[in-house]
Amino acid sequence: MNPQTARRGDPRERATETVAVVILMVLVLFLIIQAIGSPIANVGGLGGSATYSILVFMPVLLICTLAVLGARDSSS
Amino acid sequence: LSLNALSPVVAELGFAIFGTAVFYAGARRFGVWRTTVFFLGSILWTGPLENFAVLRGAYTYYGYVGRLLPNYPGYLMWLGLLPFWIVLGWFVFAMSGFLIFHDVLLTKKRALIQACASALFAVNIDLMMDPVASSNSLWIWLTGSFRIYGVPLFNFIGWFLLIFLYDLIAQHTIFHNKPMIGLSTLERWLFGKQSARQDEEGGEEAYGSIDGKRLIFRIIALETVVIVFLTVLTTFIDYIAATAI
Repeated sequence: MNPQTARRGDPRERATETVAVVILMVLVLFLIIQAIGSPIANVGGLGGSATYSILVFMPVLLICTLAVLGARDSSS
Repeated sequence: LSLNALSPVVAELGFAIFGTAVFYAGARRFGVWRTTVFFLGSILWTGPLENFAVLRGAYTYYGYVGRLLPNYPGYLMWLGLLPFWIVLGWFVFAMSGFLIFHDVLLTKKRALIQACASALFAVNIDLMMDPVASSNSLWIWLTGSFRIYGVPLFNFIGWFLLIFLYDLIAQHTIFHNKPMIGLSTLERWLFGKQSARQDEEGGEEAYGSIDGKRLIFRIIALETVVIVFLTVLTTFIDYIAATAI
């Protein structure tokens, strides 16, 4: 069997790929909430402050990026 | 019909899609049965607590009554006084945090540290989400002092406690069969000699059977503690705010 095919068939490997996709989707959800929610609420960014938006958004972005990279590493 | 009136529809559809995606990820990693128990447990964990908070008058989910259609309560599916997508949201954050910190980022750390990281991550997400959602009237804060962009301080403490404790319950009951500090004596009294045994060495893959009675007991016991704690805490915070002014 092709080693690549065998690796893809490994449940653990497929699961970590799925985790990475879900993490990305959760991140996208909150990007959408930020993008759509703020103009509707007419608050000009999360809670009305660009500094606040950056402060609360960066840790989530960082953790999601690390998680996606970590999931990719563990599946390769 | 304004764009704003569609916000609840977007929220319900969005969390239905995300709930399904996260359930799928959990099922792939931990199996359908264990993920189903995690999901049902999260309903039992957050449903009564959220309903209690609404009954106490902390907030309301009726900001969109009659906005989309006459007499339409704003959301399609409800669990008491709480839209069902809120429960789905708790499941999404709890399971995502569990997957991220137990399975990817902090695999070698203690369960307490993993739960703490997951809870802080959830609080961080709520710091983003709550000001936007509440200013859109998806829920409306009615009480609470020391507000951060319109969101009371006790809300963030509640978020931390809910995700932290549920993460620990899941780790000790759904994914492993371990005793929980503070509950062992009571459990021995309730369930007799049959106590939660320490898992044998076997890694994360060595899942045992789930003790349903113990899971329900742990959820209800800790939920009661959280409800009492938050009730006392909000009263205390309000008192401090009133005397400080």
